[in-house]
Amino acid sequence: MTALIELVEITKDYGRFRALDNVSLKIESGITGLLGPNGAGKTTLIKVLLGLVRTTSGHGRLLNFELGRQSREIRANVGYMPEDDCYLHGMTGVDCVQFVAQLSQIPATEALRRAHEILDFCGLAQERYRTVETYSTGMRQKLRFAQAIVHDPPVLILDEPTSGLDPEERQVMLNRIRLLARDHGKAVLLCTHILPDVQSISDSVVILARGKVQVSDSLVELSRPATPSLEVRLLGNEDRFVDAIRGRGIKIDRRPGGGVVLMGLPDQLAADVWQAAQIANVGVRSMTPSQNSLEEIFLNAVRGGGASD
Amino acid sequence: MGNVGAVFMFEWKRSLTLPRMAWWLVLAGFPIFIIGVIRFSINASMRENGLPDPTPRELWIGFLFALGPMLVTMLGTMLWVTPALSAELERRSWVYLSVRPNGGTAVLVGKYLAAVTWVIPPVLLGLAVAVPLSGASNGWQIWWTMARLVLLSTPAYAAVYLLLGTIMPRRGMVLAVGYSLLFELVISFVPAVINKLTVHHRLQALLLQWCELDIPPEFMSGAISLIGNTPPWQHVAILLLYPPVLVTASIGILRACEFSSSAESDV
Repeated sequence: MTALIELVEITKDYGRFRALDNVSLKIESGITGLLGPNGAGKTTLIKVLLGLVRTTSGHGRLLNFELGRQSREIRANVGYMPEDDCYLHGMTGVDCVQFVAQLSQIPATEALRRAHEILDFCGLAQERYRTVETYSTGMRQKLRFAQAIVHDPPVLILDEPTSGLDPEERQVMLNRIRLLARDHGKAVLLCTHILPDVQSISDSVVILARGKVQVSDSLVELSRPATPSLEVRLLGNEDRFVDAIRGRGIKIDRRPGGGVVLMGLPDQLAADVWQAAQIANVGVRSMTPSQNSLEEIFLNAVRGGGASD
Repeated sequence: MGNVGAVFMFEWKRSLTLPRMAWWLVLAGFPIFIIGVIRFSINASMRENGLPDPTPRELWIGFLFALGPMLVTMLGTMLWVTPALSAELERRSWVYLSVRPNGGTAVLVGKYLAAVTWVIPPVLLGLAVAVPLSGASNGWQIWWTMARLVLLSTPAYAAVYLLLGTIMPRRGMVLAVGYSLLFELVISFVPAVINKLTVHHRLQALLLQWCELDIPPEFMSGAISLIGNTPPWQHVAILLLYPPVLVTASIGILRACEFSSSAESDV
């Protein structure tokens, strides 16, 4: 499978400051979360992808277009939603979206038609004729999203798309992104600080720290713990269950808030759990393979525990 | 070219606001006001002494030239074109525009064209009223000469200011004012090769050759040492070369520099 984005030993220096340090990366289609603490190099990486800054060394491709050399083609195929709040003064929402569509070389009439369609999709149908100065933070966020997708690009780079949105709007925005990726085949690079957003919709994750790629893998792989285990929640006396399990030579770890973690392959442990529950006379409420949380993965990576794929 | 047209239309649409229309009227009214003040103060003084108007035609042409193709054109283009890039950087809208295919180029060229077409009408209108107001003889010939000079000076000055604003976006206005005062108003009067680099020198030479000025013989050698013997078509050709050369240079700088955002600390 051809990588959507392929970076080979990309380095970017701003004077003496090294923002990206020998970054090599392959990103496949689907939704990829780009994570990293402040100053990690996320914004620089996005600028490199868009051809807004030149690399100090290294090379790469986006959709088979050479970074830095085919910026025009890349920009025609990428929809970028920047983090900064910005709007064009004195214009209505529909004018703004039409204008950026025209900048993407869509004829005026078609640009207007698309602007209306996209504003409907983004939930700004009622506000489209209001000047953008009167928009709330959430509306501006949706407007920026509309501007990023109006020219129907195959790749979307979204920088903090859910910041400033209330919980309900945040879910709606994530659903929109999911819909574009799943039903319309868009590849999405989602740059955010909100880890649950990435956990809920991303297929894979890239974590940058100190200008280097610390982690790059699918979320499924990353969530799998180093030691396989099974998390069991019970109804009834947990102590008797623990004794029964220990009697079978299985290592366990008790959770402070209730629940028991059994070390071993989940498939092989299931039978033991049922038998121990029968002996201890307790009910099994849930039995799930343990997973690393994205927060744990992120913190490990940022502290230097991650490893590039 | 489509996106240049979009920026051009957008800028024109944006210019139809009350403050910008007021500014348009100020540009048109400025030469009328100054010529009117001079004319009526002279008239009043002459009436008091019972004398005819002594102001020679050449002096009126000098005033009209300084106001129309020079001052108002420079002011109009400077204020519009110099911040073409810096305004977008400060508003943080540059990144929105520059991530479109050839977006940066479209913004520069579109704003340049909008500025040129926005500045020419008020200057021509102002001169259309100021020329007859001055009472100079052969008014139609004066207006036609001034109009041709405005049509040459506006694109040239706009291109100069676009380049200055692109070279130094954050201090573009300071650079433009400095350039205008030093080069266009001082160095253009220095009878040396360096004055040939200024737009003012070309306009001055064309004015002298197109307006059939009645220069006294004792001043003729001084005028020739200042403007040289270059034929008018060469001055016109050089002024017509300013826009393509300087706008292309601005686009080159834009591509060479990394104007990605106003927040240089963004990593």
